[in-house]
Parts: sequence; structure tokens; C-alpha cells
Amino acid sequence: MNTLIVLREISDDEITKNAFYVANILKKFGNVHIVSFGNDDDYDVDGIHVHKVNFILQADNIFNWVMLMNNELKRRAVELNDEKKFDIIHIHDWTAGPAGMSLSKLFGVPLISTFHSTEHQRGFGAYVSQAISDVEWWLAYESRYILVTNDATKNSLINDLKVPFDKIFYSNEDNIRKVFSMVGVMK
Amino acid sequence: MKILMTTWEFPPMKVGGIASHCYDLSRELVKQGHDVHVLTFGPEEKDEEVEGVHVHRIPSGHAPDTISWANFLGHRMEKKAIELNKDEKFEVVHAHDWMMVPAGVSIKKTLRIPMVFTLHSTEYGRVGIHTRYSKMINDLEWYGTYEANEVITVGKDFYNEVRSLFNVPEKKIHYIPNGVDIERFDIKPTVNKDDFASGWEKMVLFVGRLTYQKGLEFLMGAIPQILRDHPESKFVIVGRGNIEHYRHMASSFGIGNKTYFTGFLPEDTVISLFKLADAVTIPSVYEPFGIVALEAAAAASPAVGSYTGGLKETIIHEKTGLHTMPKNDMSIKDQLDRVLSDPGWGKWMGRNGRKNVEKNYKWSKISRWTTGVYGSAMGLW
Repeated sequence: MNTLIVLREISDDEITKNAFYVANILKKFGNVHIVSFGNDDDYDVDGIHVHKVNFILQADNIFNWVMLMNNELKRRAVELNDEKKFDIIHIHDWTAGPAGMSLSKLFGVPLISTFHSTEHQRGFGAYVSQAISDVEWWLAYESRYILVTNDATKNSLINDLKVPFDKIFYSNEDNIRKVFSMVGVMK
Repeated sequence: MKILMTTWEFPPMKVGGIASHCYDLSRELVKQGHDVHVLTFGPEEKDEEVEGVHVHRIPSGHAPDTISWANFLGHRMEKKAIELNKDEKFEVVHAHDWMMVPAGVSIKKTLRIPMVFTLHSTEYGRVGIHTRYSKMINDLEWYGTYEANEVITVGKDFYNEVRSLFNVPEKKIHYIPNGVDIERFDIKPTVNKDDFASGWEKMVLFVGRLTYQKGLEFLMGAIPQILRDHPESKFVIVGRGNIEHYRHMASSFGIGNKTYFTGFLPEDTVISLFKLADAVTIPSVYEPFGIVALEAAAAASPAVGSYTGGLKETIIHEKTGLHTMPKNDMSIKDQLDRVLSDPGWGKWMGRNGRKNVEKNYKWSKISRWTTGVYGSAMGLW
């Protein structure tokens, strides 16, 4: 099983820690590649292949930046797919959502998303909150399964974004193995 | 060729010249045997065929401004393109203006096909770069020229503007003028002149968005002086925009009964007015191309327009119309005065204009330059 993980940025935050937690479980079943924003670079961490891509444009707000930056994530993933032939795409939060949704359609492989929070939880305080929330709705809709890192996010997905509860799983090793098996790619 | 065109507006939705451009170009490409799909905005998702063109209308998301709206729309168009591409195998994506940069660039990167980017105007020219919002639009325009394999500009002056503004390498930037669908103008007028002007009045027509860019302020300044010598002139102003602002201006100038603001009109009515007009006025401040000059010519009416941008070429002074100095009421007054004083000369210039567009601005000819650029983008030659 070749897994593509996409996340906005690799830093020392909880999202990155969780992404590597998932990657370390999945690497037991095949190759794991992570694509994220950063200075152009390719390197390995404990057998996980990391690919960073730069994006040169500044933007006037986070929504516009994310939507445009995701094109570079897609470009790198499309290049990697020539050789790796990904079986599954896993992304973290709406900031990697556009890449996840497009690549899942393009490669014809299932998408599994992890939500660490939703715009509803974050309080709808941003100028672009409604657009971000719409992307979250689409992402939840197009994901085969959703992993969450806390109960509040699960509740928000069910109540605010109307996601069927049986599509959502708490992100722990058992459930990660379970959802990746259920989409039939874990070999 | 298998062509995927992206434009935020496509008939029946029509705000500026891009809708006409894409409508005419896509139909002409189909006539020449190309397979053309158009991705455009629509309030709900819909696939239809318009005169052989496959049109896919896609909604956007809830966005607080036009830039984020365009980014959302771009993402949804890209997903649609990925689905269509499973059967269609597109060879080139052609994006129009900054609003389609997100769609064009993402399709280029996911489908790995060359991108052609046509600029119809720039934010710099429209309003200047004075806000963060305008800077983002300016950046998107630059990004479009940076990512595109080939860039098309619609005017000669405009070509230089884009080249220097965005530092576009000479080998990938082109000038291709707009064309005009001449046959559309070969109809009997569907409205009576009486509905717009009295029998004894001469009709001077303005068609365009009611914005500063189109120079309506300067026309309004000229009208009281024109009326002194030509009380028979009547100004019919067609288009959407801040009508109340200009109507108020007209009444404070005492010309309320001589200016008729029609708002938006259906296409056949506008074409009829072009044909019925004694002169067409184009007082633009900024006009990269100015399709309205070709429309006046197709209707065999003389155009009186600013010596700026594309109007420098599309109007031939004293042959197909007259040039005025931009932002200059007196110049507009002087030149409209000349046409109104000599109707026979006006008609002669109108007929010359018609011959000029038949010779130089037919889509059947213009579109071959566009496919030439597609070929360069695809590395065919």
C-alpha cells in the first residue's frame, strides 16, 4: 500500500505530530510519502518520505493563500504518483483539503481526512470563515472516512456540517488500521 | 484540438466583453472542427450544449469577496475538469482574466496540460493598485502570466502594458485583437427609434458599464455644449452601473430630457440601437481593446472614441470614425459636433468601418491566430 499524506506545513504543532503518528502506523503496510509546504526539499524521517514544496505568492488572507498554495502540493503529488502509484490519500484539515479532493478524483483512489478542528469550533472569527467552512463541508462530503483528534470536533462535524456519525472515527491505532482496511487498500 | 476554456462569464450572463469574446471564439473553434468545452460560473451545476460548444456551469462557494469567490470557483472547476478529462483528454486549458487564474493554474498542474492565459485588462489600468485587495488581483494577474505557457493580450498598447507590468518574456506573449461576429448585425432593427428618441432627434449611443473607466463623466461634461449647436441630439446610454449617479449628474447639468439611461438591454435591442444610431460615442479613460468600436463598425455606424489603447487601431480617424483626446470634454464635443454637422460623412465613415471589420476582425481569421498560440503551448511548432 502506497499512502500519500498531505498537510499544510511540517512544524512542531499537534497537527504535524498526529500526521507522523498516522504515518508511522501506515509505514508498516507500505511506503508513506508526505507532501507539505516549505522550502523545496526531499528527505526521509524514520522511513517516511517527506517532500516539501515552496509557493512564491503572498496572499491577502489565509483562504486565498491556502487555495493557491494547494496547487503546488497537487503538482508535487502528481509527479510522485508517476512512480509511486498511490493507493490512498490522507490529508489533515481544510488547509490540505483542496489537494486531497482533487488528487482523490484524479488518481481515482479514496480520500481519508483528519479533522483537528472545524471553523465552527474556531469561532467563525475570520473574514473568510464562511468560505473555509464551505471547504470543510466539501472535504467531509468527499472523504470516505474522517478521523478526529477530539470529541468536540466529532460533535461539530455531526451537528454543524451534517456528517453521518458512522463516517467519523477517533484517531487511534485501532481505528486507523480499521478505516484504512475498510477502504480496501491495506494489503 | 481538445480545448478546455475557462471564463467566469458566458452568455446568457454578460457583464463585460469577456462573455462575447469566449462565446464567439468557442463557436468559431467548433466550426473549424475543434472540440471545445467551456467551464463557466452558474448558480447551479448544469451541462449543456450551446451551438456545438460543451458548456459546463459550476457554482462557487460562500465567499466574502470576488477574489475568494474566484478561488472557490477555480477549485470546483478543477474538480469538474478532472472528471471530464477521464473521457475527453484535454490538450490545452485557456483561462481568461485574473478571475480564472486559480482554475487555469490548478488544471494545468493536475491534468498536466499547457495553459494559455488571455488578459483583457489589468487591475492597474482599471483602478490602479491602491489597496491590498487590488494588489492581490495584480499579483494574480502576474501569477497567471508566470504560470501560463503562452500569454495573449487583446491590444497593441496593452501588449506593452502587460509585458512591462509583469515582466513577461517576449517569446511567450502575443497580441491578438478581439473579433466581432458580423452576421449578428445583419438583422432588421427589432425596436423603433421612437422608443428612444423623437423623430427629429439624432441618436448618439453609448454602450458599456457605467463606470469611471468608460469615461461617462467626460461625455456628460460635453453634452451641454453639444446641445448648444445641436439641440436635435439625443444621448442614449445603455448599460448597467451607477445609473442614479449619472442621472443625477444629467439633471444637475440641465440635460435630463436629452439623456436616456436604459439600463441593461437584450442583445438584439442593443444591436438595433447600434444600427439606428447616428454616432456611437466611446469616451473611455482606459480601454485595452474596446469591442464596442467593432460593434459600431459592424452596424455601419461611425464611432467617436478616445485615442487610447485598442481604440487607436479599431477606429481609423476620419475614415471609420473620429478620435478624441481622453479625459477631455472639449475634444469629445468638437468631434461629435463634426459628425452631427455632416450626416453624409458619418454614414460614409460607418460604411468604411463595416468594410474594415469584414477585412480584419472576423473571428474566422482571428481564431486561427488563437489556435496558433495553442499549438505553440502544446509544442506542435
